[in-house]
Amino acid sequence: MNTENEKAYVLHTRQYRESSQLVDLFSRDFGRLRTVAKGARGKRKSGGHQLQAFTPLLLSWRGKGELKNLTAVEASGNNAALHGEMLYIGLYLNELLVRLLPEHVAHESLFDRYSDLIAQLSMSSDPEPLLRRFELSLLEEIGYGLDMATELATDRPIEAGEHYYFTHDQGFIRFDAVSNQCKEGCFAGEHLLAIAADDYCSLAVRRCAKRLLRSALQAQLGERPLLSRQLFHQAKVPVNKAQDD
Amino acid sequence: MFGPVIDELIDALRCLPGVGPKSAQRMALHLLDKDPRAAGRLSTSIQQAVERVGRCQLCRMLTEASVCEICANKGRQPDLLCVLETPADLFAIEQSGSYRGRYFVLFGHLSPIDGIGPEAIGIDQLLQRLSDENIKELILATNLTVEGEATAHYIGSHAQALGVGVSRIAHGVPLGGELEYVDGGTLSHAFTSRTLI
Repeated sequence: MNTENEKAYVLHTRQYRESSQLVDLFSRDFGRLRTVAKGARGKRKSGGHQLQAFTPLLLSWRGKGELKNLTAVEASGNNAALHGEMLYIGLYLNELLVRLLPEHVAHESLFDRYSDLIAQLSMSSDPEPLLRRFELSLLEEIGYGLDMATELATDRPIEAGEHYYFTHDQGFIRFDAVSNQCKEGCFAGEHLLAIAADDYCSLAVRRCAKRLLRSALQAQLGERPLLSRQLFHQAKVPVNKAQDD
Repeated sequence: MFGPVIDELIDALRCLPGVGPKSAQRMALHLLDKDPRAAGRLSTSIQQAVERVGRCQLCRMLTEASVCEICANKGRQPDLLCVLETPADLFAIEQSGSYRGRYFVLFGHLSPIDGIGPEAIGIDQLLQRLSDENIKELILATNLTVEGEATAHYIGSHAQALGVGVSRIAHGVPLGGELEYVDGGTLSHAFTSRTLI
């Protein structure tokens, strides 16, 4: 099967044999897949040097099996280079996609969101809401979307002023003051409604969204922690140190 | 096919990069048939190298002494340190003859998806060195890939917090390169990091 000039992003590359690369792709019409780029390292003629993450590409590949052969690499549109902190965010996004997206399943709208997000990240100074929106749509795409308007079990609407527990299988459950549950770890109704309305102005909403999405994503990721998240925190240390000094 | 000992030799030779079954067979037959003395030499030198070669305490480069020749060389500028991803990069820079400082070899780059964090590539050792020694400039010569850039940024921000001057090698149009054939990404790098003359 031949595929020509398919819109795609490189998620990850690793060295393969002497001069080749294994390339994990996120393509618009074929979803996540793995290809091998023969002779991609070293020779500039083959276009292999363009196989970098966060660069919009047009790729062609062929092959019947799981592992396709990359046959052509072309840059498409502007190269939105990510620098500094945005680079870590990009690595985080790619790690999420590699870990959560099933292979060979098309996710066109998620691809478009990813593409927009990469372009926005290279210009944005406030990436947090962008990231949260993408995480929400990623969960939705893989079938674990969060409903922040109603309680799944009772079908009651989520209300401001109330507090809610989040469980991975039953969604939000209203905190009941009568029972002996602990209120800690609950999410405020007004914060959930703000997230649902895509309003990340307040710091409390941002915190709530971060905590909620981390917990929801972790349930899908399983035990193994996300290394890019760890890296992001380790990378931040000197900035704080410099501020303290 | 040739008996267990020869088969084992052929199989062992396949661990080398770029060597498939056919080349391994040709190598084995050559060593055994045409040049048994060279085979003896090869086997002793491999054994010696594996036993004696370790990492330099200072720069992590492969060496048989505790400190490698470059780190021990007094003629090298002690306040200049260049960070590299692989020993092959070190050889490439040494061959260019343009650098007289010392090195630090990471043997990899940060790659969260592969589970490679800062500790795995000796960044803590590098930062320790930066705080112990009087280094004026740290030159980040990691590859210009996404992972190489992330590694450079990580080391750069930590080094700056320690008060060390940090520079990144220039990237742009190659020598003898014609602009028409240079890809867009490289060209835009060349423009953003242009220098006054």
